[in-house]
Amino acid sequence: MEKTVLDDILPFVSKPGRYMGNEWNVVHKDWESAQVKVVLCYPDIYELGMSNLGLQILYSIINQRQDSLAERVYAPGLDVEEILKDREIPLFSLESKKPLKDFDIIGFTLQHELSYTNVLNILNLANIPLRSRNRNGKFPLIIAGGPSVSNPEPLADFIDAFVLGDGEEVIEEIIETYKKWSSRLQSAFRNKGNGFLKALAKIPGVYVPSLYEVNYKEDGTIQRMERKEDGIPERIDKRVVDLETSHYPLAPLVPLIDISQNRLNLEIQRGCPHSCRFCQSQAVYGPCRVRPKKRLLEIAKVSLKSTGYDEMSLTSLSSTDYPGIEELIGEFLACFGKNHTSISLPSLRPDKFSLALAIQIQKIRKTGLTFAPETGSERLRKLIGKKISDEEFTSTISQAYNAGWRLVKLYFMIGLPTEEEEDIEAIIELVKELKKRHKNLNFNITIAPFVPKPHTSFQLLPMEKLTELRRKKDYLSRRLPAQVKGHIVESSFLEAVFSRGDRRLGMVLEKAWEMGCKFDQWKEHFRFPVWQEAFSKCSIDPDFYVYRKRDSEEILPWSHLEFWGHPNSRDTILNSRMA
Amino acid sequence: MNSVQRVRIEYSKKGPIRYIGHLDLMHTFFRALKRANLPVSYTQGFNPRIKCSFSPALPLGFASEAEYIELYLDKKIDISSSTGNLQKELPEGLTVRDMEKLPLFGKSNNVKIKTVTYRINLQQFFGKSTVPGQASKEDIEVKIRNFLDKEEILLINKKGRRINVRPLILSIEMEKDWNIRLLLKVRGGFNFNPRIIIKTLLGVEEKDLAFVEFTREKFLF
Repeated sequence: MEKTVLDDILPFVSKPGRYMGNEWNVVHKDWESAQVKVVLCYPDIYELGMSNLGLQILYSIINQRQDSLAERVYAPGLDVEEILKDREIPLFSLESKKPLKDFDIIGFTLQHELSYTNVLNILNLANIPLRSRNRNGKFPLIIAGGPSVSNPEPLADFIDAFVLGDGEEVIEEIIETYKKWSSRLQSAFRNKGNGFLKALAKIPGVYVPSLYEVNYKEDGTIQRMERKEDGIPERIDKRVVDLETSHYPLAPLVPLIDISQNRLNLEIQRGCPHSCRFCQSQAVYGPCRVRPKKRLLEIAKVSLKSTGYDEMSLTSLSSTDYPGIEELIGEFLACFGKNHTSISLPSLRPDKFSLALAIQIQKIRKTGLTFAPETGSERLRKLIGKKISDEEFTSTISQAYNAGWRLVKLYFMIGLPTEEEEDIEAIIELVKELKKRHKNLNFNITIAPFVPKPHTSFQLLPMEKLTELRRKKDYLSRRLPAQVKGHIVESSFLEAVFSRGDRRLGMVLEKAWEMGCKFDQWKEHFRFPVWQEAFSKCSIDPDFYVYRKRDSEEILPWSHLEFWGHPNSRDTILNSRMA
Repeated sequence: MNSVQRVRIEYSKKGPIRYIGHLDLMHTFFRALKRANLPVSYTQGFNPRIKCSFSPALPLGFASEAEYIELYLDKKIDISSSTGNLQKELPEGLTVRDMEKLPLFGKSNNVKIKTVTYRINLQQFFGKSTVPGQASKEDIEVKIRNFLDKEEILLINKKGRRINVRPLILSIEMEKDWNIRLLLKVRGGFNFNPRIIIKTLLGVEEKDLAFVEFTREKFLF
């Protein structure tokens, strides 16, 4: 076996399995003969990154091309980071162990705002200048996609191009464009130049932030967002693929160490038929499209064989809404159940139909039960667009109890628009009532602060004050007769700043990273005081982005980006009434 | 279904895959067995599992020349073609060295293990070590002699229990090419981590062991 840079690192590392790049179905392509070399990066730990379906799809699409190769990298653990810095080893890909700098394209997935410091950290570990304007044609093209691209402005100074919406087709168009330009990029001037960026910006769904200029009013809101070049779109529409024909990996990577979603991931539907007003997923993943049953059966058959998995998850935002889900599960059980393959569903809608499906699945192997009623009061549930009555919810839980479940996970939000004390009490009453009915039924409850997200009906609303959120969370933790897990409210605040913010935040991001912030999503690494200091050093007030009610005329940092669905007129009225 | 056959697979574990822990390795094998389409038996009950038995866990980072899995099967298989089928489905570094039929009933061989030998290579360690007084083979030999002269060697095991390991050590010898060969008694499947023994023997810190190569050579029954 060939000795690599790894051999000198692995003995000193706490989780060596993350860095080996020897997963089952890993693709090793010839480096020299690939014209376009892409490294896909999930800016968090391996165990999360390997569970991401989007990257598996892109990995498969790119590696299927004769002219290209795709490799991977994840955020290294702090122990590995220290070794890399100590020995001056630039961050390398898992497959060929080549430095990231040697690739043509680096593609980040932005799953949430708290991963942004990791993006900068990874660029730095790879010896790549953070800001786009400091990188010439010698450096890889840096692109990013994923749900947080719904407002990518805080990263506008660092990323060359953002990709809006589904990536299956656009990634190939980016590769084609790169190929056309690559000889010129390597020319004497070695400058990426506007010609290439302009060509990229003409690809539907691609947003090149450096080709747009933002002007601000005196009050800090946006005056204008202007194109710097002719021939590029004023507004960028997100990409939407046809799920009936779009590419799906048949030999996905199987990790050799345990990861957070260690099973075959079968995406049965993209988008969501419901339109909960708080939820950004509809805009990001919509419109709701299904993968046909026949195609799913084919994919499952081939990929169970190629992976050896004994469990598959039928994933989507709301799997029980898949048309004909009962037949689908029935056929899956008939096809694969006898081969000891179990089926699981992600979080269920708290209704009877969904539960009946869970019971059907449970025949093979007991899986956990997770419901998201979001709030305790029926009034508030109605307002946020989650159409489930208290009666239906409680009787669903009773049914689950009768079917043998003794532990149920529940998700609630606090700080929703128009929320009153009685709505908080309603959460407690709801859980108490269930406990009264079923003494032996236990709950794990997660409480998350509500963040008004871009492209939702609530996008103009302010977030509730931290002090209030903290009080509500503590109150619920004390009063709920259950195991309560609460998000750190300060990290939700930061998430709100970066999901609702503009380009000026790039400065704060870089400052916070310089001051040592990274892995902000992780409780043990999140340091709010450092962030506060970074804001004040940059003279930027985070409250401006979070607590300010925005006018319906205001140009939002994401106004030029078109996602799916528009907050309708009724919702605009809602917004103004709820201020 | 009732099992109709029991087989024993002997395999080696080398290269980077030695950094895959025992539990992960089991899952890696389960998936390989499934891909190879071997008719493995499952346990009864609510959470059916593959009926099998693995030889005692190999510490993380150790290579091994001979590990074992005993497997129950619902159908009889052809040993030689199954060996090839399984090998094709194993990741690099895991090599099937042998597959043999066992009597369907009776105790697992894995509980009959009496001793285990380890080869500990110090070549790289001496190339990189900054630990003073570890310059020559003779130094090591003196250390081994002093170590074995003791009647009691109290070491803390993984679970934090203090154990006298001296009775477990059958021999330690310095051999050519900077290899130490260590023979350990195994009791009831219990197998003391030789890292701790070698660390104490050499009188070094845990971090100094990074370049010591540990290989499990064989089990004796």
